[in-house]
Amino acid sequence: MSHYSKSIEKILDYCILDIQSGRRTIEECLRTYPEIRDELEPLLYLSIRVTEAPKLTTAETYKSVAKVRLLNQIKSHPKRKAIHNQSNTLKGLFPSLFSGWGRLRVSGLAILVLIITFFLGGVLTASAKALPGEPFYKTKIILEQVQLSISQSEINKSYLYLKFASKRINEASLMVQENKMENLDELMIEYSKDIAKTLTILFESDAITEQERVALAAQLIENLETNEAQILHLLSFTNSVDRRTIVDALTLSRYGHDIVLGIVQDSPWRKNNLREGRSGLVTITPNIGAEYVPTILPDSEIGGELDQRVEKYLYSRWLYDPYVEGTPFPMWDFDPSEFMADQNWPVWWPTPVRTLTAIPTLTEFPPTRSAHSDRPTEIPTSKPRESTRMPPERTPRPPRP
Amino acid sequence: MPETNQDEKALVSRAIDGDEEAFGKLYLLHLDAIYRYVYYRIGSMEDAEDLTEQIFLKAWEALPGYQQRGKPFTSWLYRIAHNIIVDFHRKRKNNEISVDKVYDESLDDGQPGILQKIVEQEEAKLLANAISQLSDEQQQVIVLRFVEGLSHKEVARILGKNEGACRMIQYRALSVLQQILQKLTD
Repeated sequence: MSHYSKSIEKILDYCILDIQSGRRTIEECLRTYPEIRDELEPLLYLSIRVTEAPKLTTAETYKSVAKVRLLNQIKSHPKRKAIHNQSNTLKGLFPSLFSGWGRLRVSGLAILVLIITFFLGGVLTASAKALPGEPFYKTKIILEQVQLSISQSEINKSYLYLKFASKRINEASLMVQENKMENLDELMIEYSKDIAKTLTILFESDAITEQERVALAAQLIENLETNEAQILHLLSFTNSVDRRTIVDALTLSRYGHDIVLGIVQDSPWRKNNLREGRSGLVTITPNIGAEYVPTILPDSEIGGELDQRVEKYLYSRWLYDPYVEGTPFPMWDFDPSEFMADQNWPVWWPTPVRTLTAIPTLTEFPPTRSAHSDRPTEIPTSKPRESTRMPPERTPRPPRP
Repeated sequence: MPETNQDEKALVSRAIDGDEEAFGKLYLLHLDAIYRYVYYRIGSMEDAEDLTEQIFLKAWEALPGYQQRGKPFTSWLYRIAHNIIVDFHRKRKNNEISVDKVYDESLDDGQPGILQKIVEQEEAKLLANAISQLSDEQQQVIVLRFVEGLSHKEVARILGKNEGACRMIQYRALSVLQQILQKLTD
């Protein structure tokens, strides 16, 4: 066969295409390639056999019943509803905040950006839609760096980080949709870095006012909720092998969301501006992080029954690991309110958490963990717990009605 | 039913916006192809029905994030189907293929050609059994290329590989499938 200019897989493919289209018969193909006839013949017959495999169809009764069942399921589908509703939650609560946020000061540098943007219009248009691995993607990243470097204030920078984080998630969604997994890890890590940078500014910067801090917190919460929904979608689209960095990004998003919620809840500004009866935000998500709750518990409760309940709750909330088979329940099936109701969840919610925060730095995130770890590596804290209790038992999932 | 790509595109757009009826039409349009894809990769009609439902539910969940970039909606569905099948195989404790009941309800309809149906079902079962023993990639190529009749270009797009790689997988898949079928029928 060595004297054929084409490899066997190409010859096989040409023959299959010719036979399928009726241009040649099997015998004619085999006569063309006598030296590989023995290898080619069974494969050609097999290809015909599989091509003629029974075209199974579902029964009409199944179709109609299954369609009704599917439509019933999607009518009450919580996730799909959540995605549409989430983005408006905070806008409804903080209308005045949202209207004023986008107004950046017009400075000389901003004008320069506009001029550059004008001249680079074509490049920008092409790069805006570029995905990792495509020609203009590097241009896109460089332009983002330019935007950051000419941004004058910390608060503007934080909004840019937020914007870039959302871009990375959108890019990841498109990549997964197109089955391009090779840059997925990189995108998720970049996403996590941008979120971590925003959190760092939010909690550590002295260059932003209290009102800016609260506004940034509210925006961050909204973005993280949307991001979380998108990341969950990414998870549903990838098999376990590709999930590691996605789970890390999800962990950071939830962690960030929970601790930032504390700022909004505790802010006097929020209390003064929140309209009566609009306190639903407080109950959206408990503002907890895996290592934080023990420090906000009363001292008398450390190690006590309440503490154990809290730990069990946290364990169930953070434990889910798609790498481990037999995980009792996937996180998106878990309804915290169900558990909280069952376990008489403490009523001291919400509690101040701002003084307890510890932001993951760039070197700390994403957290490392072994591929088969039973529990994700917890995000490092600046105030490690002093008590040394055994890990809680895995909490069984409350039975569904 | 949509007759053109534009019709399907419009249905997809409506489904993205939350139109359940449009999604129902997409469901009926692609149900059989997805069902066959699943069946020939797992070899069990009951599991194929369950997984097919899961696939469409997952598609509904994910639709808000779907962006039409000139690629067929089916490519996207096959991609979801593949991931669900991979997870299904992973969860399976052993690799034994569940043996379907030989005759399904459709054979019991008193219509002529029942013998033909039985023969077809036996052949389908044998092929599904053999195909499900191939690697994931090989299964995808065999089912999409031959059972569903997609071109290399379309298969390459779904697998995220180039056409040359798909040809190589096709060659290896047919070679392995030949050996498996020989063993099964000996």
